[in-house]
Amino acid sequence: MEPELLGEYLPVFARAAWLTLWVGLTGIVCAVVVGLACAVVQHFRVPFARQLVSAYIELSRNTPLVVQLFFLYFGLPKLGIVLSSATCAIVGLAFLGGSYMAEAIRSGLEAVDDGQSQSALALGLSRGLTLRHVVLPQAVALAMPAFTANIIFLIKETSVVSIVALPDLMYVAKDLIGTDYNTREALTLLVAFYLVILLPISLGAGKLEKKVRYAAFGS
Amino acid sequence: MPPSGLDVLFQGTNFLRLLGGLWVAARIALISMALSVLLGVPVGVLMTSRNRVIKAVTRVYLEFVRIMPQLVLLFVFYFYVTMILRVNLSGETSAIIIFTVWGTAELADLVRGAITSIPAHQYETGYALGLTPLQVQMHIVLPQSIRRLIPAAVNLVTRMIKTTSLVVLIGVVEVLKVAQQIIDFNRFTYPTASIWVYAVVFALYFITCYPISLLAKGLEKKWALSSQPSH
Amino acid sequence: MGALVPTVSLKDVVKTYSNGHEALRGVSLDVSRSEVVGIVGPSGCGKSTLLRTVNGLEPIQGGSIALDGEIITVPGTSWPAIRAKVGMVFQKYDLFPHLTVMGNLLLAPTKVAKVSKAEARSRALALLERVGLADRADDLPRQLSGGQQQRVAIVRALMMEPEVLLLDEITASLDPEMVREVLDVVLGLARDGMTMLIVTHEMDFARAIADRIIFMDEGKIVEVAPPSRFFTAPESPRAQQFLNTFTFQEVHHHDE
Repeated sequence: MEPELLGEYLPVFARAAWLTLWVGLTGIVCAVVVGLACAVVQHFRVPFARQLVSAYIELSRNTPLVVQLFFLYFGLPKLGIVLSSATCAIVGLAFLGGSYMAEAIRSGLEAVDDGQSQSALALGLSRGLTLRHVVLPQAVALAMPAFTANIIFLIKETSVVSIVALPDLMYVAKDLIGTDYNTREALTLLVAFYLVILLPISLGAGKLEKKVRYAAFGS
Repeated sequence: MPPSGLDVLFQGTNFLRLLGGLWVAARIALISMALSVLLGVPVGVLMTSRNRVIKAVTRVYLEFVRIMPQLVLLFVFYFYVTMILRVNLSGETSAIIIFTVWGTAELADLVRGAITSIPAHQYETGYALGLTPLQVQMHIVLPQSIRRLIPAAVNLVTRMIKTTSLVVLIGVVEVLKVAQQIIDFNRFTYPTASIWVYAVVFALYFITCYPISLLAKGLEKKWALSSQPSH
Repeated sequence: MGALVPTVSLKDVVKTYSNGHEALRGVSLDVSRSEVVGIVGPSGCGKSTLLRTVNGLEPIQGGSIALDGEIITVPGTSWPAIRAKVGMVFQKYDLFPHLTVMGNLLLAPTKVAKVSKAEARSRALALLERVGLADRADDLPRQLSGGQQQRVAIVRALMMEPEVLLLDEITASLDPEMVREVLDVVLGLARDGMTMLIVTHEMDFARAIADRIIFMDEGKIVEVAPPSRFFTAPESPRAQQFLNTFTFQEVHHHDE
């Protein structure tokens, strides 16, 4: 392995890593919003919207991101909908992640003891206030492990966004393998950068889970 | 009237070719899954070992494989490991090897979880009734572990199938690649083909995975070990 | 004046669950202002369900319920508004674990009654003082014992200044040594004239606090009597049988 090559490639990879992180985090934030909306619709059993949400969740969970992205990037333009590479990647991650986040929040909501909402309702809180002030804060704490697992899962999934021509980590690695044949250096940096991104998140997740759980339940 | 993009699928053997592509993906998934079960069960049992070295080694293996995107693992193996080992492996073989490495880790963790999730008082109750350790394993622990394991393992099958979509990135001719070829070949006769063809690929994946997901969910519900009395 | 219009009035209330189980089969009961009604009966007799119909946690399928003469079991009733006037305390106290004692007490007054935080806070402190927990305002529920948590739950219900209080087996989850401190609080409320419907398994407590005992079985009121008579000379065979389960025959080990 040639150290000077590593040094030469480092800035390229750093830029790509930044893009991977940016797309990943934006996608995750969108996924949380989508997931929360879906979970609330399911929690209140909103007629019609509820069926729509279930259909979306099944579609999203039973198809791969690669296929979703192909459809968004190569299919939709034929309908006159042209999305940029980055938008495609973010929409794809939100579409995929939304269902995972919805399931995490839903199971969190289900895990909150029934007595909690009963007490809140008995005090005169509306269903909306009960959800916001009593059930949701506890549900989020209960959903935390699933939540952090989803975050790691979605950042890993960003590795496929190179197929919509986004110059992320995979993209530059593949590019360097194809053009310079410096396979070893390119792949070393690829693995190293994913470790640098994912390892702290993975380690931090466990601590965060404990902290949130303690804040909510003290155990 | 301009031809609809969907018609392209009914030209010649196009749809059959697409299904053939799906079969390539399914084949990779099925072989990888079978090997993962074969290897994952013993590795999972190994992971419950109290031996520190075994614990550390299996732990590092699990964490590394799970934290790395499968595509990164696939790239490292396909472009690099084959190079230093001086072997010439096809994309499909490389995919099967890497998905097995990944699937084994996932399944082993499920096995470990299923074994360790049995609460200590279940063992104690068994011993208190006079059962031998082997009898406790056979009649108390194993039946409960399997009920927890099977639904999650079935779920892993759908994840495996979805993961096979990655192989298009190392040049395996599977369903997406076939779709691309059909679209490219017909780009002048059917200019809007891509939306239809990709929608069909989307649908094919859904049709393949959804029943398996339903099965997993059904098993989970059926085998839920609920000890809470219902009112 | 209060005697004319009952505070709570149930007429032929029927509760049928979707699985066909009939929890209440035509229950009628008037509770006048400042009255304390003790409801007893074997488990599954419908006594808890009865309480939960009064604040609409269980919708009813027949009959009617009136609060201060106004029928509340009609479509369009704003249950949150009713529930703000009807306090309820549950068996498992169910304090909100993510909020401090003070947070638990302020939630409903500030979000529902829109009372100012300062006003609610001073009211909360006064009530905590009364139940002997003034120094625990900033603790989290998990830092309190079961008995202390249940006292906070009672205060939480009182924060809304309810016209009637529903107590659903509030000592059933407590360790025996903590029952007393909770019941003392309830006795104090009775002395102050709080209207209460109390479902309980503590027969001595029911006897001491209730103006009237309602004995229920299989979704119906079987016997209504003042406690002195109910506990010494119940009329119905089923009440006699029920009260018998609380006494034990002495076992003689040795023939003498």
